[in-house]
Amino acid sequence: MEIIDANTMFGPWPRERADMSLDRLVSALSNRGVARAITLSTTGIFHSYNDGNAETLEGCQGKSNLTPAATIDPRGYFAGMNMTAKLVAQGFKMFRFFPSEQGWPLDHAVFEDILDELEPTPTPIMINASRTGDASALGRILGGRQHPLILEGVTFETLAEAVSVMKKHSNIYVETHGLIAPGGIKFLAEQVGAERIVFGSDCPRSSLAGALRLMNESGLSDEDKAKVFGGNIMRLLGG
Amino acid sequence: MAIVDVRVQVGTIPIWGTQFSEGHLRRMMEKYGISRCVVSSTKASTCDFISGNDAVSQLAGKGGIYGCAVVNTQYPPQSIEDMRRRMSSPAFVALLIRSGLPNKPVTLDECSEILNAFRRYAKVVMIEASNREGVLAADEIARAFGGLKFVLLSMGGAAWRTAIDVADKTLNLVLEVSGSLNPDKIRLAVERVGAHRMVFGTNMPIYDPSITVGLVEGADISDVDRRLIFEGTANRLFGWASRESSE
Repeated sequence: MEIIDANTMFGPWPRERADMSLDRLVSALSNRGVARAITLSTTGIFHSYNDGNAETLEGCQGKSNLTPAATIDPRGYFAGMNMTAKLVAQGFKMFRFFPSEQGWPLDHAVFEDILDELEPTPTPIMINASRTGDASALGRILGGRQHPLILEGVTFETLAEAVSVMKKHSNIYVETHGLIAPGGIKFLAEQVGAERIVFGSDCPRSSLAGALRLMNESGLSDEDKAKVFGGNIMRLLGG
Repeated sequence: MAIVDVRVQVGTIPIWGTQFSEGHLRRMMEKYGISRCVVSSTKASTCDFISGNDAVSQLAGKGGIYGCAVVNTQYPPQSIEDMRRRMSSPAFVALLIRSGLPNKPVTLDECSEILNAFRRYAKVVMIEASNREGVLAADEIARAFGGLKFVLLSMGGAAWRTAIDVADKTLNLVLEVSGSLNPDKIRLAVERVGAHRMVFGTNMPIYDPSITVGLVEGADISDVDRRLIFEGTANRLFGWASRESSE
């Protein structure tokens, strides 16, 4: 069963001392048998998305097991720049957004502009939805847009909200690393289907070994595990 | 390798409202090879410590399940009275002190009266801390009551480095390893504090045990240290090691 980790990062993490070097990420993936990871540089979260995206491309260069994700901070983006198309052309396969870390509300006008820019492309979006109300807000903002949107950071406190939104929007998915309540992943699969769940570990900030064990003991069938571990994200990435 | 889980709760799971009963706990113990666990009540932690402790007393002392009584520093006389009802029993092996307010750490001035009354039992005290303020407050309490053994639950949460710093100097403070999933946490704590002062806890049913089992299994430490964390330290802390060797 091929494992793809949809949520990894590398680079500085100013809010907590952590070794999040690229070498460490690569080594963890290799040690734990993860075939491929979608990753980005944290410089793009905390400093400059332009610098961060450049670091991401550089870090992924020559590493066939790393797939680059781009980020854009809506606070510093002007609609009409059409940067999303340029980033897709550069080889980025996912867009990630960090409203909680960067301190912007989900109904930020520029974020909606970016969603509009992305709508013609099939590139999936991953966004942090750890706060109560985040998933609901995203459901409202999404409206009739059909872009694949992966919620990251959903916990047992926000799972009910995420499920409600997922039932109304078939293009919303959930990443697993926050679902550490017993039975949380299986419950989610029963509610919305295993094809709407994507494996992610938050490695190297969080334990990859723990995330893998959680998935392996989730109680999902082998067929559903294969979907969560890799099949779903492969489909979203276009194979 | 057997596991001793020093941090388990039973009862209604907050927010979700579903039950985590003795039957659920026994199945989880079997699944993860947990030979002993220390259990408190979800209700005791969130709203009513007396009725929660009553519920725990129904299952404590049987089949590897031991009780942890919860007290609330907002209610010192009631806490002391309830503690006296439980702590003479060998079924209750620990006391968990809570402030009664979410995310507010217990402070020395708030818990001194309760801990003075608790000293006679010579059992383990558990304190929750999820940030730096809480870790420092727990450290102050442990220093003031040097004759008692304290377990810092969740290893300080996000403030796990602070927890390691204080445990390095405060020798009656033991670290329980759930909380942050930082993959360096376990190794750094072993290097600074030692596995002989670290105990395994899952905080189920809030967290799935597999995540913390995986965290410890994946840590870059020796098998001897891993065994201490999983069971050896707890067996010694709660007096089960000596009992086993004498049997």
